[in-house]
Amino acid sequence: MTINMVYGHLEYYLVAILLVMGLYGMIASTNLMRKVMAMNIMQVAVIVFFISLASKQGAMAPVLPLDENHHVKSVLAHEVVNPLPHALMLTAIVVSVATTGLALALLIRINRHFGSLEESVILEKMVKE
Amino acid sequence: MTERIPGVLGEGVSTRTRWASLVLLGLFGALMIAASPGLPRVGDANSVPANHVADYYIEKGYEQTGVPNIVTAVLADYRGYDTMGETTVIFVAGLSCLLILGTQRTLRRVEELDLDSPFGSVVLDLGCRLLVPFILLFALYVVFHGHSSPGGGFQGGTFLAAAAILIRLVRGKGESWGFSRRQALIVASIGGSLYVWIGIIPMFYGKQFLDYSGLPLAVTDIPHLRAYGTLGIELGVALTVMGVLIIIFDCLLGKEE
Repeated sequence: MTINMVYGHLEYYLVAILLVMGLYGMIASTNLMRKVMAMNIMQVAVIVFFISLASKQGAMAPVLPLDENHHVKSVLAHEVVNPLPHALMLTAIVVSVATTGLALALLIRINRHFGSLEESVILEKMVKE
Repeated sequence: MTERIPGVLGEGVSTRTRWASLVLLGLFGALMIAASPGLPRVGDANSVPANHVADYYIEKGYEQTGVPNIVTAVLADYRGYDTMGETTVIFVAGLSCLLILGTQRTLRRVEELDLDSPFGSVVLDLGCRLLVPFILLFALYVVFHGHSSPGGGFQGGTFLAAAAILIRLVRGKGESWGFSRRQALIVASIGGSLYVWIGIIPMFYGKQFLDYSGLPLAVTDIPHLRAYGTLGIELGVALTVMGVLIIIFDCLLGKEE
């Protein structure tokens, strides 16, 4: 593995670290709120992964520029970054916001019922019921 | 390890589980890093993901859809069906929030902070009055100019929701500027059905579902017509996202209406 190879793949290392961090948070914390936050970190890892696949060296954003007469210029494929992962991740971000809101709503409901978000307390009370 | 506050940060799992998971996850991370040379180099214009359908979108996108922002073209035109599914997911998430938190008749107050009454500070009030028109203007710009600049329905919808939530936070619930949960639900439903109807109308004119070239508008130029269809879709998405985010915020505050 040459140093050049490592430079070209540093973003994938970041993705791997973020994903492992999120997984560790989900396993090692017993608080449900923290688990949800760790899951969000994993989502960020996936989003960064897709966006790094989209990038091209020296390319511009996938919005076609205008020329002097205010007509849209056509470009070659290697001049702008890959628009497809951007479109996919755009929706993924908003969907993750909505699903996080749903998870928080469930947590509020759990907290109202059991008076806690700690796994041990919730399990204890579930056994009692 | 710092001392944990009971009930706030939790005790965490046992030391044995912690170390076992660290070892396993370390192996998992090492495996991913070891596999990364198989992926294309970051920034490689000749990589596999950059070479198949993406080239077609970039080179043919404008002449086929009339939208210079290719991300918007892919999102709302080529993959309009996909985006309709995502919008539905968002809408259903908002509805579920309402069903989970909005149906309880007797609610115990969880928060100490009373978020339903206005904060009442002159500085906050004036700051809000100053900011909200600009946030709304920028939101509309992002939605309607999403064709030829970065932007679109999802982003604009979050800006719209941000303005409504700012009003709600600063001026309280009784203020007529803000959105109630019911109004937000109506807005979200209008947005979703706008999307679906823009998809259905072309079917009456002998086109496929979501084929905007079948829309009955007085535009003869096909790409131009498709751009109008895209705009309608983006507007629907913006309304749905705005309504759902307001619903979620309102539900998380946790008070029965």
